[in-house]
Amino acid sequence: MTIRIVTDSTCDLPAAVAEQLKITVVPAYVNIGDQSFLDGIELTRAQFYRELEGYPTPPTTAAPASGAFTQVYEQLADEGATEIISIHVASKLSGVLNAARLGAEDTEVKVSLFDSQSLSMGLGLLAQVAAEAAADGRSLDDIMALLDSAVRRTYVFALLDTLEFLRRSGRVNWAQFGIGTLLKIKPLVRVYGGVLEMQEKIRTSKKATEKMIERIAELGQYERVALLHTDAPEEVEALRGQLAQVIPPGSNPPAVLVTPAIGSHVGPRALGFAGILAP
Amino acid sequence: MTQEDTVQEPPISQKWLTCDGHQLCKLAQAGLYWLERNCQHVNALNVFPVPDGDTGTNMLLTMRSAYNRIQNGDEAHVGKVAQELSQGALMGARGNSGVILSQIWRGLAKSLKNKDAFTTVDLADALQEAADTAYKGVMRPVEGTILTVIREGAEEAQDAAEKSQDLRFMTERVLERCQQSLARTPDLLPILKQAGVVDSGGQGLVYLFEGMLRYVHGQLDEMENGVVAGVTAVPAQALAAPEEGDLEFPYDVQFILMGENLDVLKVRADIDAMGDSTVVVGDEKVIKVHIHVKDPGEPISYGIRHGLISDVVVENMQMQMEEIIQAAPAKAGQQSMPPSPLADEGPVIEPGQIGVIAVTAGAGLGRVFRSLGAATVVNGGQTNNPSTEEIFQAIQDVPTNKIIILPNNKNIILTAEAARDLSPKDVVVVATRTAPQGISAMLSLELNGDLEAVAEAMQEMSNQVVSGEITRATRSVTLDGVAVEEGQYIGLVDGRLAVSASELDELLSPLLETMAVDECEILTLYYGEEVSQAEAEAFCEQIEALYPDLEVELLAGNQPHYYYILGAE
Repeated sequence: MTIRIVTDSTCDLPAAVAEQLKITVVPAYVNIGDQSFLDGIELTRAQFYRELEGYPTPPTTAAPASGAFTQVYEQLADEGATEIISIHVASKLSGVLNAARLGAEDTEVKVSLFDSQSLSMGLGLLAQVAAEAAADGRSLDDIMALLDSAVRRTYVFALLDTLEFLRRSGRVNWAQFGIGTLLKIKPLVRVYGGVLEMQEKIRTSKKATEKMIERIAELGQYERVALLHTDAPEEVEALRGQLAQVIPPGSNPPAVLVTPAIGSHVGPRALGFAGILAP
Repeated sequence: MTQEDTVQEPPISQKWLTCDGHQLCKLAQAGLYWLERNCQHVNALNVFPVPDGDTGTNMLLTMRSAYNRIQNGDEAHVGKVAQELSQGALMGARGNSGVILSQIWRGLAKSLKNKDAFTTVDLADALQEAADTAYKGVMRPVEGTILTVIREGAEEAQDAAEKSQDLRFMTERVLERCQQSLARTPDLLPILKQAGVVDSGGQGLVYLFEGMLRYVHGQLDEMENGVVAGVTAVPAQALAAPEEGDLEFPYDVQFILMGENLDVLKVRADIDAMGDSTVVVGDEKVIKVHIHVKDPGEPISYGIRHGLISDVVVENMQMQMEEIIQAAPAKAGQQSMPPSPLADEGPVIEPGQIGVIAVTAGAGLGRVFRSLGAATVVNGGQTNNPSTEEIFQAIQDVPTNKIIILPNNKNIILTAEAARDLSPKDVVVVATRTAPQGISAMLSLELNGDLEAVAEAMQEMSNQVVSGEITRATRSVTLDGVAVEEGQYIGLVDGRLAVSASELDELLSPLLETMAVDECEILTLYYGEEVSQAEAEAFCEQIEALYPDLEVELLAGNQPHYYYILGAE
């Protein structure tokens, strides 16, 4: 019995980690102007953020084609996989899981779909949990139960430097969030259970970082964490220092440059955190 | 008062032992008239050298609303007349002094409730009740204000009642004592002494009593029924009217329902189900009903089923609105219109969510509040305090039972609290004193949160901003240790006078220093209706030159009177 893990490029797992854990990452599309790029393959992240604010039209993103998933599933089956767990970005936020479902329907390969109800490294950490369990020889049912438990303990926070990008992404009911166009505000948002929620609306950077740390720390002890940013390398290292209390001892969490698929909604200079609480 | 008094036939005979409803009606009219005559003087007694809350106007509008209730009546029962006056004052109350005045009428009415006519003993008791009720109307009673004046007046009435049964003797004594009490207000309240004035609310009350006594003595010259020009209330309905389109509920129906053992809450709920803009207030005997409906017959029939109705007014608002719209192009320029609650990007509040009502002056500030999630904005500010009814109306209009009010001005907090007490909804007043405080509080709003917890978070958040205001002094004064000449620019920090200067440029640096902006990251600058965008941008550049590390954000507040309102955090 060989179980393989499939996810999508919104998981933000560093390539080396994915490779080591044999996680297959299906790239999403990033559309800039009339050109379409495969996330992480045809477009590097550093390049994307450097140019983000200069793009004449806001970049958009698209789920991988269902055919891409079919292809990946069949290829893994050819390599000897007997079971596949395909774990993806929250279905409430993106159509990726649906594309994967359609892809799985077109093949005889046995695929178990899983909604991470998270995104970015929230998804990445869950894929890691599944892949490590698979490597330990755990059964499909065991791994699915493990994921069911972990997903309820998975949180992603993001502190946005500007609202501009999230606003024009059209994914949030701004009026209900109480964030207008008039005042400059740094929103602290949280993704949990597949839902993007406003946690705080803050006007100054200093208080914003304090608030984020407070909100992260008040949840409890974490077993896995990751740091995120959209081209703010110095700030994210400073955040690492400030978050020392919640980083599990001995772990050296990556500071990940977030996928353009998310970054195009979040905008540059955002800071983030993903973590799975200890059970 | 400098005017020669025309001595008329005394309207009340030499032996005045009882006062009936007709006489009280005349007294109220006389008091109102004398207050109207002296309204500007009361306004001029502003404690602060900034254009203050227009105490005289507020008391006048409150008193006029009270008198309107009895104007066309022919009631001989003094208790009923007092009750009407009380209800009218309660609904028309605006500003701190207006709210206190309405409490005075409430106390009088409660005490006189069952009297056909009152004697000196009854009046003394009623004044005592009035004073007690007035004190209860404020969270933290301050001596040296209208409260002291009514309390000492009531003491004098007790004393007079032991000596004579003559109401003339008693009212003369009470007025004299009130005048003395007023003269001593600067000794009790240092801020008055600093400014060299007596308390404006106390002065308003003295004028009211003085007018009454002048009537008793036949010394009121030509009593008119007309309104004094220049002081007119903008009806709440005019502010709440939609900009265009057909009205869902085109008829405005008002009447007074009289009966026995009326259940105000039930009547309110029943009436409310018929339309919108419901105002139902009163007690178990008299209820004022106001509602916008499709069919005016519905509430009127309801009223007849539950008792007697009177003062029925039915207006076709659709036709009125069309007239207003047709007349609109004739109006020159754009006056400081109330912020339209519809033409912006704020949320549509749903039942169960928290609806925030922000009181603010200036369309720009209104838009900021709406964009941060306020359910509605009530137009009002420093010189234009909204009435209890306007705020109450806003509470009723927001389609949720969880309400937070942001007064955004210290003179509006009491009115907001009075409106809260009238409403059956769960209402919390977060006592913000400046627009920046209110805006800061809005950042902690969670529409779906727990009302008390959100209100607490908003209160806390409101303290995290330093507010600055720049205006001109309306009078020369020394206050908070700052000497100000009339016409000079003055800067207030968190509502306190901090700096003054002849030129705006000279004011800026010391004001920002007092605000300690060097410890802040962001300064938000809201420029007023008298400032052009170019002027505001130049002002902004001056600030950036003084504090290069500070992020300055410029927004059109369109507020009257204040050239600039600043929030530093």
